[in-house]
Amino acid sequence: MIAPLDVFFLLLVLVSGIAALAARDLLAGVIAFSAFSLFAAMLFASLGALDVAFTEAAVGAAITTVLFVTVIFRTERTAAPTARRAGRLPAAAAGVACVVAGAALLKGVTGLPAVGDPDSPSSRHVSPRYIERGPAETGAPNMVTGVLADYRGYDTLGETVVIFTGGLACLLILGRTRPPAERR
Amino acid sequence: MKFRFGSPVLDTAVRLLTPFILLFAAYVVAHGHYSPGGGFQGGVILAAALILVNLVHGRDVRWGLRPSTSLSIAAAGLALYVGIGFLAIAFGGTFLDYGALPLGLPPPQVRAVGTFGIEVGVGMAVMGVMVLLFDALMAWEQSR
Repeated sequence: MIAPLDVFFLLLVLVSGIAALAARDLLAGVIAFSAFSLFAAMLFASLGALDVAFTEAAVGAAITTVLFVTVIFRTERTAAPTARRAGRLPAAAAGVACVVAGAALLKGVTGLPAVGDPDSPSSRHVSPRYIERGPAETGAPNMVTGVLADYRGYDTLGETVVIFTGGLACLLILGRTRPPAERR
Repeated sequence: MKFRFGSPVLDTAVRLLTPFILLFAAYVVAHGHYSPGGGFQGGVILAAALILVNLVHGRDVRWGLRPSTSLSIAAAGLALYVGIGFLAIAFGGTFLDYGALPLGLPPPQVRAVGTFGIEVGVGMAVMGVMVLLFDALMAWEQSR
């Protein structure tokens, strides 16, 4: 069940994604990528996943864009020209591979249950328990918070550790080394 | 390239906006129980406010956290999360079983308090790491 609004946002996501890939000016590419995130957030919101939409808007459209722009000011604004073009045979093989993989994905999508289908496997496993007793058990009327921070608190702890480790790794890589231009 | 976009317009806009962004970040963290949001989103918004002030006013403003400070905040957030988990063990529950905390409240509210604690921990960790990433990129530029 895809409402017309979802189609509209899907098209915007597609267009901004292609624009981000095609841009030779990296700053324009980053801005298009930010728009991609914003439209993806709107798509999530129109599908009813407000927590995901919130995260996508805050992380994808805001913070990531700022970090990308910072990197661009630090390095180059235009993409490096491609060294050499692929031959005709590899290009044809890649095209065939794309078409086959795309057809397989489309075939797979037709086998998925409809969005919001109450009889789909994912809706019948633990979801009824979360919906029926989540607010009463966790004290959190927002069931997403109840699941993320209480029922699945261990997973969220893992995510937080991953973020922290990623920050430490970036600090190790960026903190002590000289930029490539100085080493030459 | 200097990372300072100071101008009267930007300065005024940032001065007007920053308190509201900070308040909204606190609201998102604290109100995650009732509305979309939570520690992760609130932490990102808080980091965005700090980065905004840093971008407009440069490094000289005392608003900016030092990288060691933001790293400490991130580590403290993670420690708060793990600490609540072990506190539950100390009071006879399993790891991260907030219901075991002896707060003298009905069980769902005890769990809600525990959830709020870890949301604050997540918010601190995310905010610290995001500011840290930005600071690391800034410092990289300065060593050039």
